[in-house]
Amino acid sequence: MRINKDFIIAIIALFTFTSISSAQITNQDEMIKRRAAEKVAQMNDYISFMASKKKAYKNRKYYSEKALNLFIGRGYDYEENGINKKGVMMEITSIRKTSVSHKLVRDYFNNLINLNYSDVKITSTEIANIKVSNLQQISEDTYVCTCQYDQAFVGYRDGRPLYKDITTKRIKCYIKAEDTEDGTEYIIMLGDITALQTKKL
Amino acid sequence: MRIVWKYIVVCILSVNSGNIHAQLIEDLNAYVQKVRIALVDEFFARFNGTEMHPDLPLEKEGSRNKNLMILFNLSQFSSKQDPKFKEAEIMMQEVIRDSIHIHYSDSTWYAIAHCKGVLDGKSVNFDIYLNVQHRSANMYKWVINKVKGKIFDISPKKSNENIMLYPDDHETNFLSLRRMTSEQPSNIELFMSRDFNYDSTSAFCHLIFNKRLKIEYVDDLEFVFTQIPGYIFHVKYFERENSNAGWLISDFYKNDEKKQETDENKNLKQPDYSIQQMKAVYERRLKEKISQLGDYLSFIQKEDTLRVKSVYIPKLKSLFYDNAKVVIKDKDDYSNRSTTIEDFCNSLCNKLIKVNNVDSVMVPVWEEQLIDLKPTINRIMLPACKIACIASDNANSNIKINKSLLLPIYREDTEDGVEWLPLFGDIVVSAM
Repeated sequence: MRINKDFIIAIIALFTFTSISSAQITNQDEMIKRRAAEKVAQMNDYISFMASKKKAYKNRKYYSEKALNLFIGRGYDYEENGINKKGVMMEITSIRKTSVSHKLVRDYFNNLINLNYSDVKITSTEIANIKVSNLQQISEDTYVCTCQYDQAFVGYRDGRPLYKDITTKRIKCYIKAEDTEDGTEYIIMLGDITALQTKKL
Repeated sequence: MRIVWKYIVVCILSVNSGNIHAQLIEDLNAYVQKVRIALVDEFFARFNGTEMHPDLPLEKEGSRNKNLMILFNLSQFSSKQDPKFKEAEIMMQEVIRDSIHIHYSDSTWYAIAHCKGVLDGKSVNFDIYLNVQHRSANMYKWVINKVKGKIFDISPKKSNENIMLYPDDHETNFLSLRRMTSEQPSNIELFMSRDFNYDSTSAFCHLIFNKRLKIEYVDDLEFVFTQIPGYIFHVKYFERENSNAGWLISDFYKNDEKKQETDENKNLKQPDYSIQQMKAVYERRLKEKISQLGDYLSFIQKEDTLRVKSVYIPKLKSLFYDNAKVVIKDKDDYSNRSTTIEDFCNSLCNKLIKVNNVDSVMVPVWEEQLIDLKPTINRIMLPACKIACIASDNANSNIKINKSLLLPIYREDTEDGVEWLPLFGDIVVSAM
């Protein structure tokens, strides 16, 4: 009888362990995805600050540097699998142009700081509405996913909005798992950005 | 102290961020952001029913069907009475009835990236077909399967049988090759062997490798799914301010419709012939070719006209593999001698020999692996066997496959499907 009881407990424990492990994996994936969305939201906040003419040039430059630190290679050239890669790129669309152009993110940020408007307001999808794709493993310790968000741009001159658009963007996120004394840490770095379509507001 | 300061900075950032959001948030329609299918992963989740359209209750009867129907770009239907809408309903009912699910790792879906590029300084458009390929464990990657576009087209402007390298060009060190490239590069295909099959994907690789072709950007992207038996559907991104937005089914049709289009990605194409049919077709073609061999020999020996030289001799040669030999058994002195196909044909033309019978011929033996070959492979070497051509009940009853001797078979796309045709190896003839 005792054996049977132990056996039942063991079976229950096994099932509990199995369900906890799979739940843990799912929860871990969700946690990483949430952190990727937070990283993207952080970048979008920095973009708002660096574009705002209400802030001093020095501060706008500071936010640009902070934003660049979120990217792989900190926005500059980096090496991946032995291949030298140019800094992270951003694909730019505009309602005035039909073609698509590409800029290094650091140049894009530099342009944002120096835009020829009296003020610029950029707002982006709230963190809860940023969509994150499933994690895809690309090597033993590295994963990738994609976040989608919208970004609204308004350029003012003399207090009047002169140009408004909204662009849907997708950004690649790299997730590197690093073993530490406290367990595995996930370092999230942002990558190339694709602009889907620009609409006039 | 430092941590407290950091916390204060973060709080200030959050408040500032909140203000900016408050000012312009009305421009970003939160409802649309929530309901639209922003990512392909989300399309998978909605299709499989693991995620519902936010307006649909999870458990309510009919929700699953509605969840599937709202995956269509609804503007393609004029009304619920639209026959296409009815067909869409039938398709999705099959999905529910047969519990059809789609997964990222499926080999039955592919992407078509409509690209804008620059070739030698000129703007060009072309399509790249991509498939998901398994790497190891749970790792995958996208791979280029084929390309398509006018820029890869090398069809000659003129179709003229006399555009060729002349038969004696070897005597002038093929000086004509220079003329070919400088004067009529657009006719290059006319100079190629009849067995040559142009492959635009290889051309694409070469252009990229030599930095002549650069991809500027992907102008449009669509995905093609073939997981629903009997149906194919395309998914494209629709950017609009309503609840039917994002990655949606832009087009769908029954498998047999638009066959041409679905054959684009031949990795996914089901063979039109079944395995047994393909083998039977091959054996039929083999018999036809053996029969042609007898006919050509007969024509060549009966007639002594220019037509024999210009038509039947090339036809006879085309039946054989380049290295094939002819063993001539002389009935008068019971001796055997071996010669090349070329010399054999010359001897026939010049009436130096008279062939009575074709005793045997080496032919490639059919293998089942041909079914699984990539469509880019147009020719393959297979083990050979000797076929007796003299009519006899037990002539071919004990066929031995010679695995050390390989002969080619080549692929031909016909209206009925892919066919494989043999090239003959050594032939034994009885002559006088």
